[in-house]
Amino acid sequence: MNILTILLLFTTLLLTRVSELKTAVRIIAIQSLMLAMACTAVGLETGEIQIYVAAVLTVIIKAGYLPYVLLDIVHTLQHEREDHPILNISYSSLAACIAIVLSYGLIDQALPGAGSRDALATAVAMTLIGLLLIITRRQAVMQIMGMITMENGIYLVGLSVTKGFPLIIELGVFFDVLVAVMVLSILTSRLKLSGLSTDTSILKKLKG
Amino acid sequence: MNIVLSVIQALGVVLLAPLVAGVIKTVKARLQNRRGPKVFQVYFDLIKLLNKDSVMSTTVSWIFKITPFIYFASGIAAAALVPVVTNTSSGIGDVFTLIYLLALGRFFLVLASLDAGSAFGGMGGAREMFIAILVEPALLLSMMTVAFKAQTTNLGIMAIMVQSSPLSLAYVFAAIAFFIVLIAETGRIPVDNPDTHLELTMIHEGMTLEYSGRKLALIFWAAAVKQLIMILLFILLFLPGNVFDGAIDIVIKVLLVAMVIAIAETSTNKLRLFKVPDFLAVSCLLSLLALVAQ
Repeated sequence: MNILTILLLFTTLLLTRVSELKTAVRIIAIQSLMLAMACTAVGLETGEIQIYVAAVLTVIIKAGYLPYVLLDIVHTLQHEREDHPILNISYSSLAACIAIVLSYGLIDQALPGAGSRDALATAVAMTLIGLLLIITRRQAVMQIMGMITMENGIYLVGLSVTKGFPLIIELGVFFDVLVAVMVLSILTSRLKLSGLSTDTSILKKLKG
Repeated sequence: MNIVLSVIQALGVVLLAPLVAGVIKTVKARLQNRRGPKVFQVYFDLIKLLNKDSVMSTTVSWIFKITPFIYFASGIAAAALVPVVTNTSSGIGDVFTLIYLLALGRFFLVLASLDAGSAFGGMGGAREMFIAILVEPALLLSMMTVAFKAQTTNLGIMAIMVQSSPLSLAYVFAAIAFFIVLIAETGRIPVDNPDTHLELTMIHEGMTLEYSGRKLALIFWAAAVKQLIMILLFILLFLPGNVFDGAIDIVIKVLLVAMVIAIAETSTNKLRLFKVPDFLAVSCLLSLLALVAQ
């Protein structure tokens, strides 16, 4: 479990350094897969069947179907790259490091006796780094990646604090993510068809 | 007893350093489908250079004349500090001492490159300082991950702790971080091309362009010693676990790391100078992860 949390943190840090959209989608797929493995580890610990179901659903939806859809979208956006985000690559990975240190500090302040300190801090860091990605990236697909990272972070918070939410809540979260990504993919295709690129900073031209 | 061992260790490192440099060259050549020079060729080059006179520009000061000796002496002193023969009782076997000795050598080399007044020397010196400013924090950070685990900065104690601990994810990250720093410190391909003959692309060789004869031999040798020191640090502080027994263990590991360096050099191309900070930032990130993972 400890190795998995460190690897999750590693993939999240990698995500702040990519500029190719295809690489970002692949990293998200690996991240969701490792999240499913962490979920399985928790399931092995508690032995409840619903956690296994949640792990399988994570693999199918977040590590299987979602990256497939996103890779399709990225394939149609042939020449799009995250060339100059608002915070450039070195600074965003530096900000991600600050987020990790901050999350460790926050956990120590807020929940001083928490058992799984590493997992909880990783989860909070993932949420913060996902937020950082949404704020500082111009490409719509990269913002989707940030949203999925935030979603994974919140999922991991649930795993580490309560050892697995009940299945109803998991299903609700999954469908929320699924619908959100479908809507975003339709919007991205529309942006591509009508505009010249999916760079969201060109939407500034819509101002009167 | 400890002093005698340290002196023998320093002599051993100094004498074997050109061999390791030769191994790296040969492996690189074989990977590029050439036969390459003999493994002992660097020794013959050094002997040839030591028999020649030094020609110096008329505008140089005492810094130019004294730098090769300082560079070589700092190399020998650092070689005595590397914990091959673990030396926990001596108070001078400290991480910071080692790093500052190497930095002292580099500082004088940069000064000497400016001293001769040639344009290429100044360019090489400026670039070397640019890279050094970024490499030193990365080097210290990766050393600190091991020092943090061992709760001390004494190299001997750190080495003993590392050699007896099992492989864990923190060590993997710290090892990759230090490998990146090793490539930057020894001036290998992603950071600086050691075989280049174009002065515009030189960094370390640009600083030594003005030297000839015996002084150049000392500088070559000291660069090879520095390389072997970094390789030994990599093995002793970042690769946990003894695979084979005794001294053969270190020899085999040094050769393996030399081959890995040659493979890493052949498989990438040189980074643009202003992309080097990104490369070293990856090293800092991995060190941070290694710290967190403990």
